[in-house]
Amino acid sequence: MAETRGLKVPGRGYRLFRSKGWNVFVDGLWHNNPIFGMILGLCSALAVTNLMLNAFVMSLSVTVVIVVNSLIISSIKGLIPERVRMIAYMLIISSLVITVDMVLKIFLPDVSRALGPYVALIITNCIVMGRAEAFAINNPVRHSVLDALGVGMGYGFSLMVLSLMREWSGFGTLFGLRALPEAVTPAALMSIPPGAFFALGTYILVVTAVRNRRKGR
Amino acid sequence: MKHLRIILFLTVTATLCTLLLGGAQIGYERAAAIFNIRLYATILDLFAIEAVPGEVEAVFMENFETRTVGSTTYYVSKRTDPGAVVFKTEGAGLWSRIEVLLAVAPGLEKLVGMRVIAQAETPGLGGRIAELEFQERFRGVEIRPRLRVVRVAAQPNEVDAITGATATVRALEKIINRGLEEMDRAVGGGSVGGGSAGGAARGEAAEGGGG
Repeated sequence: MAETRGLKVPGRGYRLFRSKGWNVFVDGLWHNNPIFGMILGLCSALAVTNLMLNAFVMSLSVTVVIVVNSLIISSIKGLIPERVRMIAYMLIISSLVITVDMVLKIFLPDVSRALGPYVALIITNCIVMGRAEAFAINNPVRHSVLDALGVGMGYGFSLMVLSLMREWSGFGTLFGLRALPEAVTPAALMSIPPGAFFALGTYILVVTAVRNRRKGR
Repeated sequence: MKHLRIILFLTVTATLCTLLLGGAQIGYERAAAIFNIRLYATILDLFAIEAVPGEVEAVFMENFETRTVGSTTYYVSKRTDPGAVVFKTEGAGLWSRIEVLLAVAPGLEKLVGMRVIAQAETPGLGGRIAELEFQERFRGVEIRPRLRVVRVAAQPNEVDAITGATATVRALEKIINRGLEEMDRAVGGGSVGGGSAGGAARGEAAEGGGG
């Protein structure tokens, strides 16, 4: 599934771009982007994208958790008894997430408060478990890490685009810095939950249009 | 014995995860203690007590007693202004959560001072509550019947507001007064403030009676 697609890329360009690792990485970043490709992890994408800083910290946390989790799972995949693999994922994921949550509470208390329960809810984020089950459990460590990195950065990329749209139009700022003239009244609608749905809908619409056009060519 | 392998695997994994979390928890508590030291340093600064970095906690412990009522921790001064009560309170500002440190002078009639610990109000407007100059306006202000933040302070229980930050300042006023009310209730319960200062006063009165 995920990994076979990138291999079909025609054999031209640099060697790096033909390697399996690169294709696995790009797959997660674009073709299987969690937000507009797999439509996964939308709950957090809707909840934390009102400010770019929040979205950035959330993306970083999710990426760290996915990468470390995939690394661990694929390194011990020979040891995990098949019947309890889900429990093993949950044990490892929840330990990682609780640790990340504590680190955020200490070093970025304000952001941690703004993110509320969503950091802890990374445990239930289907992207993390999805990567473990769909990729890390039956692929080599190197590729698993690249895949996790691609998916994590794909998630982060989508979150950054969404929060850019929402913070710019909703607060008139970017990363807390003024990005619209004072005279312009920001559309507060974009900073509240309904705005998240508008932004996400627009984003998926545009990206799907672009992807379909590319496919058609 | 397939089950044995499963049991063994889960036991080992769970143990490792628990150890990891235990380590993280210890680190977290260490770091939380560092944050408390920042709070202690702010309080000492408010009372103009000098402390060398590294001895903040020791100096603070010498000068203040800690009492917890409900979820609020009250620090009662033992040396400088004995009986003064310091506590943290918080509430909603215009955009953000505002966290305030209040120091109430002995007798609980006026403030020793006020510090804004955390806020994320509009920079340049409401955000100016974080400026020391504004916070220093609260020094010695009376809190009875109620502390008020007004355009031009004329009464001893009034403080000058900030132009262009009406909503934030009103929220701050509300947060401070609610915190003071909570303190009154806690003191009314006899668990704070009355302790060192009141106790000492009663002791002296008894001695006087004996003489």
